[in-house]
Amino acid sequence: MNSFKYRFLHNKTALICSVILLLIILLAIFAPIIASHPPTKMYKDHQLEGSSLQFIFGTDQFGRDLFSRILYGTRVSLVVGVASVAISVIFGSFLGLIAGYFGKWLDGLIMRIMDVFFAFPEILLALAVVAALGPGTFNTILAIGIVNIPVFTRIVRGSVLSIKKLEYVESARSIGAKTSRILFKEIFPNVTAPLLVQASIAVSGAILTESSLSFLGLGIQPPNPSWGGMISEARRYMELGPWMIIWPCIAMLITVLVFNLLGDALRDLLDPRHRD
Amino acid sequence: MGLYIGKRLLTLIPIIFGISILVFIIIHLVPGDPAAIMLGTNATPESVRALRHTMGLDKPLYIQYFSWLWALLHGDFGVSVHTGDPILPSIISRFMITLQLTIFAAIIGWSISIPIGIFSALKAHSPFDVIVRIFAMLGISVPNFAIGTLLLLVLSLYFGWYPPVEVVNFWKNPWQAFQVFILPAATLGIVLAAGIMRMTRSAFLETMDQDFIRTAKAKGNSTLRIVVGHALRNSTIPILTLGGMQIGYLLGGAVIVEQLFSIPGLGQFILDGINHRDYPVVQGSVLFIALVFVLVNLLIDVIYTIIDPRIKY
Repeated sequence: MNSFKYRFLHNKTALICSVILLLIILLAIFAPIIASHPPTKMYKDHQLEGSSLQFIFGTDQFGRDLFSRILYGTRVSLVVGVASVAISVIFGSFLGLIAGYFGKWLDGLIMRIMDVFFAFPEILLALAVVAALGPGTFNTILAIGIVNIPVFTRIVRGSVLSIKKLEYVESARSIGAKTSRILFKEIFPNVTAPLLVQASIAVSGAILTESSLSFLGLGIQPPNPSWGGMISEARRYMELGPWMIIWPCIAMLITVLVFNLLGDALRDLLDPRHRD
Repeated sequence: MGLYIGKRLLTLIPIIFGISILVFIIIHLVPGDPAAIMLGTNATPESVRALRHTMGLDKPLYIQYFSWLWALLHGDFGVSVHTGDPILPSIISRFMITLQLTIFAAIIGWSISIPIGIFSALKAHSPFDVIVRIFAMLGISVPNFAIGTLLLLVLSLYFGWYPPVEVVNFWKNPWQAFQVFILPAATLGIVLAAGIMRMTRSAFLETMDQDFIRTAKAKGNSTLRIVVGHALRNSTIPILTLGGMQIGYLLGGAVIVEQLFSIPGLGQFILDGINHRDYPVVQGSVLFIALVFVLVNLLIDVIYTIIDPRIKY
């Protein structure tokens, strides 16, 4: 692990991305302090204004401060991204562990169910779940979380299949370790590397899916600010206030890019085939 | 080959069965009484009861499922609660529009990205390669609706150009269809291109490192011949795999892009269904797209065996 720390600190991309990510997280946490205005307050005399000292990113059609709304939107994106991936990781790893370890009919059953999930385009499945459950933050998290479970199941199962044949697992079994101990204490720590890489990339995907759902009006509900919802609203005022589209796009681009680059860098660091 | 396709079609049966169960379950997650929700707040208890009866909602779940499945097997997707029209004909006519959009998008996305990806791999670490990689990374980090909105913004604000409103078929009026579909197709295509460029580059880097390429070079072949005659076929499998996954992305992304550009395809049909709480429409359309996606994946598996005869099942 120390050599991982060393290589991480000497990988420019990983380091820069972590710093930016930390910054984004701090912005999200301290949004109420940093925001110059309340995100839903309407300044009637300042509708559709461009950047100024008072409103650094300008205002929207209701005279709400865009900078503050984008800042609060960061919270929504990060919370949805991380919480939904947490759901996928927990359920996906559990299913992958038992499928890979026990094999036979259990493996067949779990993986066939996952195949069914894979038969749906991601956004469509999320859309169907949200359509049934109704829009809102919690349902959005749930929908995206469910949709991503199969990816993690597949990754964990694949790793478990090769790990469970190793001698140390056999020796753990021969000294009479309980199955739960073998699964979670012996095998699981060794699948965390691919899991981490996939989780980082999945967060960026989850943020994109959330923004797409919100764009369609099925994700985060107004007046709560979300980047997708902001872009959707801004379309009608495209010619009067193009900044209403551009700023949320930039915010989203930076956040998603950071998670993608971090995922790529982690893969280079953790995957033995990519090591120099 | 025929035997293989037959076998694969057989293995599809449980998957399709599973898909139908999943779609059925999702739609039945609707909290409360779907009939009451569909009819809205002004509905009388009698009308709710009548709708429950015509939709079979008063029967046990498994009976509902099997009668739905039985009807599906006879090509009956039910009728729309909102318009009363049979659903399957609407799905097919709207899918034809979505199909044109996705094919156009795939042509734009893949035809640009594969040559660029190859060139990027041949000139690895050159300024060209670095620029390509930056653009590819940006491309996978922006959602399609943002790209589409920005395209619309730039074209309308700075060039005063708007896509025509009326959607026509490619074989009826190719020029107008081109104008209608170019922006949404480019929107989807850009995202596709980013992924394929990355995959093509890494696949080629790996292939070009191998011994048979060195041999081909030693024999004095031109770069073009090495790329087209030797490397391309050996790099196709990962590119094709990603391409197959992207078809799913295209079918899903169409929902968003059709909404953005007001194209009355299958995606918009689903969204209208969701907004009108027309659950039979949502159920039927989602099922239809999943079936198309499964068949596309089967097709890709068949293409694998043609491209690489070493792949045996």
